[in-house]
This record gives sequence, C-alpha cells and structure tokens, in this order.
Amino acid sequence: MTTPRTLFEKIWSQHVIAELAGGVSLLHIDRHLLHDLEAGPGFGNLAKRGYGVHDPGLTFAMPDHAIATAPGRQTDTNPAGGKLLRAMRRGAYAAGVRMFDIGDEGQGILHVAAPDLGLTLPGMTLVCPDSHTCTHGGLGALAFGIGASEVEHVLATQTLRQKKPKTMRINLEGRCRGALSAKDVILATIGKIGTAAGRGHAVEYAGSFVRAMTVEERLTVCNLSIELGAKIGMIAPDDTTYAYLSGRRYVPKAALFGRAVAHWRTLLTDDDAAFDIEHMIRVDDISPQITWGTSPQDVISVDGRVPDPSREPDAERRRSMHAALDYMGLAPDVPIEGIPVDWVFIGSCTNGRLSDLREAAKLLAGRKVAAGVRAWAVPGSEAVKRAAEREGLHRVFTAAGFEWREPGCSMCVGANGDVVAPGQRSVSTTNRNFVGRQGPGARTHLGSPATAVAAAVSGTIADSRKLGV
Amino acid sequence: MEKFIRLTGVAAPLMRNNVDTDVVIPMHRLIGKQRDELGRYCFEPWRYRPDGSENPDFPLNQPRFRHARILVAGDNFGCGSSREHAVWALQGLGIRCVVAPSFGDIFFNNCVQNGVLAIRLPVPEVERLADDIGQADTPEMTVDLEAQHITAPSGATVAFDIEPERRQGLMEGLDQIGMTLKLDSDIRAFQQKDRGERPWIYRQEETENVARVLILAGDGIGPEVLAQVRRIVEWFIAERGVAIDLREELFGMSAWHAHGTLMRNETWNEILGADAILFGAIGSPEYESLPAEARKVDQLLRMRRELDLFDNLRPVRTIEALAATSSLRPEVIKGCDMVIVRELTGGIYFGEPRGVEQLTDGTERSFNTCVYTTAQIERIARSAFALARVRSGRVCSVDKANVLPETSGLWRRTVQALRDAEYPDVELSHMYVDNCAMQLVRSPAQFDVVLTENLFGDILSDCAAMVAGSLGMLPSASLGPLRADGRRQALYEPIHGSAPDIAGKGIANPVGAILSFALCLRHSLGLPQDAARLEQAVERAIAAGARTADIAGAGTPSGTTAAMGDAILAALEKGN
Repeated sequence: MTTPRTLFEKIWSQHVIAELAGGVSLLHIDRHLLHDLEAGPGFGNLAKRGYGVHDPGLTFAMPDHAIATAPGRQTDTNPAGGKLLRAMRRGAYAAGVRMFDIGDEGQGILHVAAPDLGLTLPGMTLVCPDSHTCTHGGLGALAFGIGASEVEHVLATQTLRQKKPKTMRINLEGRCRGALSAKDVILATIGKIGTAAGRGHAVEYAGSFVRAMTVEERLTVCNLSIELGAKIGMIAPDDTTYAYLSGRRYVPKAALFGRAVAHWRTLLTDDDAAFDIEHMIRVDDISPQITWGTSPQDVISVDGRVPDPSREPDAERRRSMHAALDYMGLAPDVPIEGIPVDWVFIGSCTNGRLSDLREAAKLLAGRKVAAGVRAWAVPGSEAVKRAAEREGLHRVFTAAGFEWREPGCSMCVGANGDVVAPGQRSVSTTNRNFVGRQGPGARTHLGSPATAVAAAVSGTIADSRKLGV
Repeated sequence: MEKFIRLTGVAAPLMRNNVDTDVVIPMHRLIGKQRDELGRYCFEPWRYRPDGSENPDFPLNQPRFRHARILVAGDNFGCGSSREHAVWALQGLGIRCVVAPSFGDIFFNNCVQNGVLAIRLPVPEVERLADDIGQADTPEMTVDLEAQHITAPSGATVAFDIEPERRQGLMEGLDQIGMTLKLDSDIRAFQQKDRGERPWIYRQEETENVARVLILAGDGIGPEVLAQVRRIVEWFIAERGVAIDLREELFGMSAWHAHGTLMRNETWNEILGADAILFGAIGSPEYESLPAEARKVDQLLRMRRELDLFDNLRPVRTIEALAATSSLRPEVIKGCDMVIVRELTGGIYFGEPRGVEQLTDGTERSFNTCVYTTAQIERIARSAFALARVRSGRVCSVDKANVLPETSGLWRRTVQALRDAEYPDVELSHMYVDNCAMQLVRSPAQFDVVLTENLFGDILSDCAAMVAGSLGMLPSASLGPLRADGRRQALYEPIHGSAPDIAGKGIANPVGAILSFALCLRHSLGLPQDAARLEQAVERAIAAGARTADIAGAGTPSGTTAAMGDAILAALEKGN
C-alpha cells in the first residue's frame, strides 16, 4: 500500500521534473499569470538577457494594478500606469501571450478574472507575481505568488526551483449564522493563530464549513492564506467546484471535461494522510470581524473593544500594539463601533466578486451613504461588472451614493493613485491593513462587504446585523 | 549576480516582528522607478516623518547604523506582498544580508534570486546578536558564508545552517535560468508525457467551434507555394491541436480547365462559408484566350467586395540575414518593422460615377470618382489604432489633404477626431502621400503603423515591399467587418502575385504565403502564440541558411520551394 498523501503532496509530486540538490525540486508550472506591474519589465529583461519565452500558450496577461478605475478610463488616465500598460501590450504581443486588455470582457483583477474565465483548474500549478495568488487554491490549484526574477525564470523555462513546504490543515467546523461571511471566518482564523502561523507551510482548508461554501467564498478564504503567512492555501475540489467550472471559457469541454474531473477526483487528501500541523476552528461562535491595527491579525469582533496594550505581557507585542494604535489614531479599550470613517471601499481580489456585490447591494438597497463618507464599489473584473449591471446592482450602489467604477485593484493597493488621504479612516473589504497600504498615512479597517455597507450608511464602524435586510 | 562569500560591515538591529514588504518599500514608490532608485525609499514610512524629515528614532537613521550592510531583524521578516522591489530597496540601502528567526516565504526566495543572504537563526541567538550590536562601540559584524558562521562585534561566533544549493548559488553568483535550461530536455520530456495525461493544461480552446479554412491556390506559382502552406496547416492541426476544418477548391485557370467556368456555385458557397481563405495568386497569359464574357468579372475583386474585406494589413520587416537582397542599402533598411493598413473597399477604385465619354471633336473624356464616408474611414482607422497599441503605439496617417481637401480632408479630420476621442494613448502623425513615398525609401525605419486609403495604399505598399528585399517574403491579410458571431471573415495572400515566368519550376519562395497563414492564426483563429511560433520558425529556418533563388544572393546556392517548406517544418518540430 502506498503512503497516504495530502492534496498538496499529490499535486506537488505530479509536477516534479527533477529533484535538485538541497531538497529543491524543479517544478513544472502549468499556468503563469502576469499583471501590468511585472509583465513589461519581465518581458523586457528576458529579452535583454537573451532568453525566449518557453511556452507562451501557458501564460496569460491582464492589467489590474496600475490602471485607472475611473469611469471612461483610457490607457493614460493614470499616466504612470499607461507606460506599464504599453510595455505589457508590446511584450505580450511579441511573445504571443494572450492578453486581456482594458475594455475586454476577460480583463479584471487576475485573481477574480482567471477563475471566472476557467483559466484556473484543479490540480494545476499556477503562479503569478502577486502574493494573493493563493486565492486560486479555492479551486484546488497549487497556486502561489512569486517575485520578479522568478517571473523571468518561469517565462524562460516554464519551471520554478522550489523547496517543498510543510503541510498544515485548518479545519473549519460548524455552521454559521445569517450575517456572517467567509471573510469574517478567515479574519477570525488569522486573529486566532496569527500572521506568522502558516509561514513555510502549504495550508489545506477542510471541514464541514468549507464543504458548504460556494466556490466564490472558497476563493475569499484562500485569498487570505498569505495573511496567515502561508504562500499556498487550498481547498480540495468537489462537485461544487465541478459545477462552477463546467462551461467556462477555458475549461475543457465534453469528454475531455469528464476525463479531467476523473483525474481531479484522485487528488483528494487520503483519509490517513498526516499534516505537520493541524488547527481546528469552530465557526459557530464567530461574529462579524473588523481589524483595529496594522496587521490582519489585529482583529476583533465588531461589537468588541479596541484592545489595551497595557494588558499584553509580551514586550515586543506591547510595543507593536502601541505603534499600531498610534498609527490608527485609536485609544485603547474603547468600543470599535461608532468610530467615524471617511472612506468605504468594496472590491479587490478578496471581495470583488459578483456574490460580494450582491451581498452588499442587498443590504444597501433603499439606504444612503452617510454625509461626509466617500464610498466606492469597484467590481473585480469586467465580467463581474457587466453581470452586476445586468442585474441592476450598479443602480443600487449609485442611488445610495457610491461611485461605481471600472475593474482593477484600485484602493486595495493604491498602485494606480486610488488612495485614502493621510490620516483618513477607511473600512475596506480588502486583505491588508498594513501601514501605508491604502496610501501614506491611510488608516484601514478590514471587514466583510456587509460590514463595509454598515460603515457607509452609518458613517461609523458599525455592526451590519443591526441594519437588518 | 554578485557573488557572496564573506561580508564584513556594519550591522543594524531592527527587532520588530512581522515587518511587511509594504513597509520595506511602499507601493507608490514601485511605479515608474528603476531598481537602483529604490534605496532612498526603503522603510520610508518609518525612516521619515510625515513632513519628509528623517525620524531620528529609526535605527538606520542613527549615525552608527547609517551605512549598515547587515540587518538583524525580528520574526517573519518580509511578510506580505510578493514585490521583489523589497529586496532591491534593501540592496539600494546597502543591505546584503538579513539575519532573522524566520522570513516571509516569497521574500526569502526573492533574496536567493538577488544574491542577498537570508540567515535563519533561533530567536535567542538573534536577540543575542542584536544585544551584541547594541552594546558595541563599532557595530561591525562578519558573515562568512564559506565557513557558515557569523562573528559578532564582541568576537563571539555563531554558526548557521544553509541549504547547500542556496549556498553554492550565492557563492558562485549563478544565473538560475541558465542552470535550469541545462535541464531543458527533461522539461520537454515531462511536457510531452504530461500532454498525453492532462491535455487540458496545454490545449485551451476558447470555443468548440472549428474554423473553416479554404485554400484557393489559383494561378501561376500559387499552387506550388500553397502546397507548402498546406503542409504547415496540417502540422498545426496534428501537432498543436488547432481546430481547423481545411478545404480546398480550384480557382482561376485550373477551375476553367476542370469545370469550364472560373467560378462554380459550389466554390462560391465555400467562399461565403469560410472563416478564412488562404489565397495563392491570380493572373496568367492564358486569360487572353478566354471568351470576353468569362473574363468580365475579376474574381479576386469580387471576393473583396462581396465579403467586404475592407481592412488590408501588410507587415514589412527587415530580416537581417537577407539585408543584402534589398535594392536599398543595408544601413537604410536596418531595423525596419512596419505594417501598412490600407482601406481596401472604398476610394477611387470603387467610386461612382465612372466612365468614358465621346466628345464632339472625336476625342474622349474619362473620369473616376474618389468617395469616402466618415464610417468607412472610422472603421479602418480603428483597426490601425488597435494594432498600434500592441506595437510601438504610433500611427502615421497618409493623405493628400493639401490638394484634395474634400476626401483627404475628411480622412484627416476623421482619423484625428477618432484618435482624440478613443485612442488618446496612441501617437498620431499625418503625412502627405508624396512625402511618404520618399520617406519609405529614404528612412523606412521611422514608420510603425501606416494608415492610408485604397489608391495610396496600393502604391505605398509595393514601394515598402522593396525594403524587405524580396516580394516573395511578404504576407498580407484582408479582413472583413466583425460579424454577430464575433468573427471576421478574412483572406490571406502573399503579395508576390502569380509570377508566370517561374511558374511550374518549383523554385518560387513560399515564405510570403506561409507568413500569411501566421497572420491567419493571429487574426482569424485567435492564436497569437501559434502565430508567433510560426513566425519564429521561419526566422530560424532562414537564419540557418534556407534559401530560395529570390533571396539567395549572387553566387549562393539556393533550394527549391519544397526544401524551404522542409526547413520551416523542421524548425517548427524543433521548437515544439
């Protein structure tokens, strides 16, 4: 009998071309996704070094980071982004790489659009120069972020040299109640085990809560794996996955789809497979979450109080809590509910999918954004935007006083100039509340789409459960 | 990459946990900056106060740590974003080694790629090193990668572990891509086997629709060159899984000989149903012997008109190996790479009224009319602008607005207005056609996308063809409007014509026809990667010495039409 293996180990070993010295494996890369910050420089450097593109058909490109999201945007609406976009177009065209440009139905934030297009499939290795590439694990892909040099390595060789990480399983058990979202569950998980817990590990999420989740919710959970410190987070594919995939643009059709599903079914973690670490999280008692500090682990229940560093025994932790409260302009031990906000942002590769916009619109319908608050809804992809507009969701957002914008990373990362002003406070459906993440001096509170809507209509951090639908 | 063997330098303590790469280098500093400009923004949120002045409390701002080469840091250093800029920013600051209990996984790999040594040590040892540095008069440390130990300022030494391969890579400053490509035969063997097991990874079909491709070889050397094209098409069907339903019909004199008509209804229906037509050539002295009634309709013009093939693309590129075959000097044509976008269904060739009148004095008066509408100009201009976006972003629009303020004036105004409204990112210039003809032979490399109307395009594209050396090398595409099913019907043909003088000898150059099929892969089949694959195979075959007579040059041996096909197929095989 063969040794029981995990989902991760099965996919990993299927992609090993050669074992190199020092425990490093040469891995085949099935899918390489490129965005506008790295594509032009990557193609350019590669050409300068005299290397060609090994398998242009396995690479796909779309701009998302530095493009403007203003309605009616053009190439140079954000001039710095325009330069990158031109370089991306030229590089992709010369290499024969398929690119989805602005205005194309396929364009969007890579981690939203690629699953939508069916470019992400279970059992594949997928890389992209962005740490939130772990998102694609929600479909059962072995996906992780890489750096610029690794981009060139993949372009030139269609492989990567990687050391095999350890394995971790996070069991999410139980059923959640009404207003709770996948975002709240994963934020609470990070709060519980910390942003360094997953470092050096490939995480598999399992348990009854995971099985009950939709694919879009699974993508949200896997998206935040890197905020656990894990560059890989994945969920075993199942019938929910196959139903989601069936018929999408790049998904194999007819008999080939059947063959692929049969292959994917062999990838599940064996019953007796061992993980290096296991965690168990009960989801029943999780309430809507909001961050208070400058790390995703600085998270509390939205009806809780800002923690008091003086009660923290660890000196380094105490120092970092003080620094975080100072940056965030918060006093210790006050209720987080009721703190005034200036900005609300709904979008990003965490919560920019159609289901997120639907959830937000449902809560927002008939309400108005509070005076003094600027609120943006930025669909995660052109396809999401068009689908939302077919359902009339854009009218719900604009009637309430939200700006309805073009798809891109936008204010999650501020690479295109969409930033929160210094000292201003935002409630954001994104994934990072780091110092300066939404712009220099910006104060970010992470939460779910429902929590963002509650903040928008209240003008303060608020509990979405009290709004009712 | 700079080798790392031993480093002695100032070490600075930064004993904070979870230092993320957004703090190491903020996102807004990534845009528009070169790698070597990032150092001054490293740790910007901590290093500077909001007013831009230095924060004296930040360790790296203190005089004793200002020129640090080594950083001693807290747990999970470099977590968060994958940006390699974080490593470049540290390098810009002078840092070549970071010692910490642990690192963000992606940051750690990025260090390896850039010759930065990341050392993992247990927490107590990192804390001892930080204390040692803090208490030293001169906080200088030595990191010896060869011996795998650190000497603290006090003289205390700490050994560290490192994977042998990472150590070797750092010590030798190796190029990882070069090392990996030594294993390329293993990579290709893996892919070959995997393609059988998981074909869905390698063959991504956007639709299940099979494209109908029709070969019309036509007259003169058409059948010889299209025979080679057919082999290439069949290779893509068999080896790349390209979904093509390939058909062939007789056209021109061969149709006359077989069926007694130049265009059977069956053939015309095939033409109407085809997604793409691979056309050879039309023209033969034999037409003179046909009855006038049969000759009345030019079947190629009929296809252009009926299929509304308004968008004619003629790429012209210098191939360095063939520079000597051009009638222009090599330094004039060097680096030339342009596409002429010609309007093909309007202008004076189609305008009404036209005619010849008898005058009372027995002489004649004849006239043609040049007609263009805004819509006709807009649709061809859109094609040029879209093409410019994936090339250098420049369009030169050619007209004669100084003498023809009506048609050429409308042309110029319409092109400019469309650019301003929808393509502001594209650089547009205008040129008079007489000047353009001169510039094409004077300095052709200045052009990228040249947009022009039908008559001017006809003349200028022949003129530009000489830049490439031989007419036999040049492809063209003629595309119709976007249909409701998302496709554009198109005809692809080499520009060389039927060349009756060499027809039937097996020495014609098939490259123009083969590169026309590459255009077909790109524009009709939506397979840019396969188009590039074919174009690169042609270049490799020519670089390796494949020649037909027209491009052989004086005294150089030349091969047959079929030998050129063999060489390109061999290059495709090798690159697959």
